[in-house]
This record gives sequence, structure tokens and C-alpha cells, in this order.
Amino acid sequence: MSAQEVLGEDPEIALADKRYEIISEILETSLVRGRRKWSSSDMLDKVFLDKWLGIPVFLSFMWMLFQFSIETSGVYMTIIEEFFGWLGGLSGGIPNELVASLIGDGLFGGLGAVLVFVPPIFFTFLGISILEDSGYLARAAFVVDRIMYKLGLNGRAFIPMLLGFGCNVPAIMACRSIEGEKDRLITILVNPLMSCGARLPVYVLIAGAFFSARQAGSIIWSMYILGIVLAIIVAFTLRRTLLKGEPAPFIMELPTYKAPTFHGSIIHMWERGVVFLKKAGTYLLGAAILLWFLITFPIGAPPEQTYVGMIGHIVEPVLRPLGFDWRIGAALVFGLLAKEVFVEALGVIYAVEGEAAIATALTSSFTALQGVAIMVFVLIYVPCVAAVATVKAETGSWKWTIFGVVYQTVLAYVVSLLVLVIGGALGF
Amino acid sequence: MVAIYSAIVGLAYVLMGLLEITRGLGVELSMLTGLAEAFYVVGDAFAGFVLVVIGAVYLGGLVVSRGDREGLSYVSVGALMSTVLLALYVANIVSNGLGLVLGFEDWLGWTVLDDFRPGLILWVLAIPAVLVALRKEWRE
Repeated sequence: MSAQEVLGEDPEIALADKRYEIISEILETSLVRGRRKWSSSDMLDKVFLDKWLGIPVFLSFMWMLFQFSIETSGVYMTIIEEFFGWLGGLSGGIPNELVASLIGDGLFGGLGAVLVFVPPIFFTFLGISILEDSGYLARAAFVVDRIMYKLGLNGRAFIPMLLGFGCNVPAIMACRSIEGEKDRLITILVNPLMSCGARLPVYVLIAGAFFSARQAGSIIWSMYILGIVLAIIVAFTLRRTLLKGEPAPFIMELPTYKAPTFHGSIIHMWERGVVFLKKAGTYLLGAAILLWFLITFPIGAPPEQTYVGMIGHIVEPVLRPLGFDWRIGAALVFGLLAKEVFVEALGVIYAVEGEAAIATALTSSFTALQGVAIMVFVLIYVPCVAAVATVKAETGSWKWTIFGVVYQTVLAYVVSLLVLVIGGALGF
Repeated sequence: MVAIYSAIVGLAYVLMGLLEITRGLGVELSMLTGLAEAFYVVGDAFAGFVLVVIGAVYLGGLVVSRGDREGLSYVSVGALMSTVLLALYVANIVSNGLGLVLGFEDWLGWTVLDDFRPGLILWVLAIPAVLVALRKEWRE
């Protein structure tokens, strides 16, 4: 018999293992370990990577981030709102009624309704930049990986998912870094459930309308957490059904902690936020004009009988069990262009209807629970056209792209309905 | 010494956190009403969760029994989280103060006390921890 047959393994490996075993035994009896000074990284990692405290600490920092974004930005949003209100007053002096309506209702009512959310968007990006620059977000990925691996998910997926908080398009593209075809596909399919920056105006509008400033930040934080939870559940389900297999292990070098600089954080905030401003100046401006056209024509028709109204009424029967009317239906359809267009659409619709403020119009038409259901639907349903196109480009498959669109729409409907049923049963 | 300090601060944060959560859920503990009023507990359950987590971090210094430096780690991180929470509340006060100065309708009746929260007051207890965390003698 050969040595390999006797040992049951490669003799070289067996010899190496035995050598290290003897070295360890000698070291245990002869080596006295010194007590080195702790670095700041050691000190912080002791707690941030703690088995029990890691995730609650992460959730706490996320809550503080959203409280900062929403509560602190309130006065700045009002400044922008007052500015657009003043501009709207000026447009009333334009002699041509159609042009006055285009500028007052379309641009200021629609695009203005979205630009009001520049402060919370920039504050959110500032907070994310600080967390990223400090080195903490890498620890968050490491901590969440513990749970994800137990659920059969690749921990590396958390990095693209974190990117999804900014925009789902680059986040889906970032999935290229994931080894394993099934792991990559799962991460691509669940990435749209991460609440991107475009959804933030929707949350701020609805949470701000139905809840106090103190509660709004917590409600919005809940939407982000719900997205993460749903992403994990969907990924777990896919792993156990359509995309069976074992996740690849997650190896990551943790960066050292460093105090974020004001200058660096502002630059990173600006780099992310300027994408929104460019989008507002191009895509959203075009969408506002399109929406104004569709809500104004046929000329003289009441809003519900214009082209926007017709689109809204087509989907209204399906959305009626959720308590959504044609306006929400139309906004959800136009929200497929970009999630900010949801707010723009409501802005244009209510402006043409003569409503002074979208928030006031919403609170008179819906309950707070329905407001939450609307936010949940916006969180989960089909992402924007750009994200769908990116899924197709990254997966190379119409099958998985359509699967993604269908499951997200169905999931949005089901979860929104559950929110209404359970919330109603609990007396909300 | 570290253990005693961790216990006092940790329990204070946990207690205030639980008060916030119970008030947020509509449960009023009559024997603690005075304490809740004194610390401006408003019934924000999510803020209560964060206070409980900060308290748990301080109390973590008690559980780790391998020496003072591990305990100091928990105290220092607790101080960091307490300070970030303080910064959040101060930022809110400054921004709401701006709303009052600019004369916006929604801010006309606002006073600084409207934004007082337990996390703001409890930071006073965290000051020693902040000073320790800033000292470099025990770390590189």
C-alpha cells in the first residue's frame, strides 16, 4: 500500500499538518504573549463587530442618519417651497393662460415639488458619506454577513445593496464583483428592494403629510429597514427554490477607521447629490412638461378625464382594494420613468386641480395607514425604467428581467395589502 | 471603577429608552411619570430603541470580564454613540431655530424646549466617557 492509501490523504499535507501541530504545542508551553497597546480600530471593532451588539448598533446609526436627513432639513425645504410659491405667484401674471398653466402648474407645481426635496437628499448623502469615509460601513457589511451567510446568502452582496441606497442602477452594475453566477443573479434581483435616493422624495412627502416631524424620520427609517428585510427574505427564498446552491465565502479586508474630514464628506455628498440635480434639470424637467401636457389635454376636460386621468383610471380597479385612487394610480405609472416623477405627477395633478399643497390634498384623501401603504408600494414595486434596463444588461436575460418586474409588482401589492389589513386590525 | 460607571450610565440610558418605548406604545407608567416629564420623554419608540442600544453598549463593559481595556472599549463606543445622538439633537435645534428667526408659520410657536430629548440630557453622564475616549495613553 502507498503512503497516501495508508494516511488517507496526500503525505506532504499530512507532514505539514503534523509539523504545525508540534509547533503549536511547543509555543503553548514556551511563548508568553505580550500585552500590546490597543489601536483605535481595535477599540471600535470590539463593539461594532460584537456578535450581539453589531446589528443593533448598525440599526441605531441608520436611524440617526434618517432623523438627521428628515428633521434637520425641514426648514431648508420650507425655504425652497416659499421660493417656488413666490415664483408661482409671479407666473399668475402671464397673460397667456396656457403658458401660465405650463409654468405655474407644470414647472413649479411639478418640478418644484421635487426640488423641494434637495435638502433631505443631500443630507442623506452627507450622512452616508460620513459613515463610508469613517470606515464604519465596511464593518456593517461584515456584521450583516453573519446573518446573510446563515441564510445561504453571499455576504459580498451587501456592498452593492448598500450602493442601492444611492441609486439602484450603479448598484446592480456593482454586482459584477460577486463571484458565483447564482449569487450574482440573486443580488441583482433583490437590489431594487434597497430604497434608492429617488424614493426619498416620496417618503418625505407622504411621511411629512401624515406624521409629525419627529415621527417622519422614524417612519422613513422603517421603509429602509423593510426594504432590507424583504431583500433578505426574497434572496433566501430564491436560494431555496429557483437558484439553489451554497453561497461563496465572504472575505474582505476591513479598512482602518479614520475621522471623516468635512471637506471630503462634502465632496462625496456633492458627487452623489449632483446626479439628482442633473436628473432634475433634464429628465425630470422633461417629465414635468410631459405630465403637464397629459393632464391639461384635452383642453377643458376635468382632470380625471384628461390623458393622465385616463391612464390613472385604467389601473384604478386593480388598486382599489388598496384604497388608491386614479391620481395615485397615474403617479405610480409615471413613477416608472423615475421614482421622483411620482411626486412630480402628484404635484402637477393637484396643482391643476387647484390644490395649494400636495400634503394637504393627500391628508384629505387618504388615511395615515393608506399613506404608509403607498410608501410601501413605492418601495417595492418595479424600479425605474433605467434600473430594469440595467437588470437586462447585467443578466443578459429577458426571462429574469421579466421575472424581476413581475415579482416586485406582486410583492408590492401583497405587502401593501398586508399593511392595510394588519394595520387596520391593530386599530391604526 | 469602569464597571461602576458603565453600570450607572448604561442603566440610565436603558431606563430612558424603555420609558420612550412604553410611552410610544401608549403605556403610561404612573410611578415614573415625573421622571419621564423631567427628561422630556415624548414617546418616540424608535428613539427609545436607540437609547436602549446605547445603554446596552455601556453595559457591555460589565459583561466583558477580561480586563479594563475591553471595558473601556465599550465605554468609548458608548460615548461616541451618545455624542452622535447629541449632535443630531443640536442640529435639529439649530435648524428649527432658523425657522423661528425666518418667521415661518410652522415655527412660530417653537421653543428650544420643544426639541429637548432624553438623549440630550443623558449626554452629561457621558462626558467622562468622552474625555476617556479622547485620551491616548491607553491606546495607540
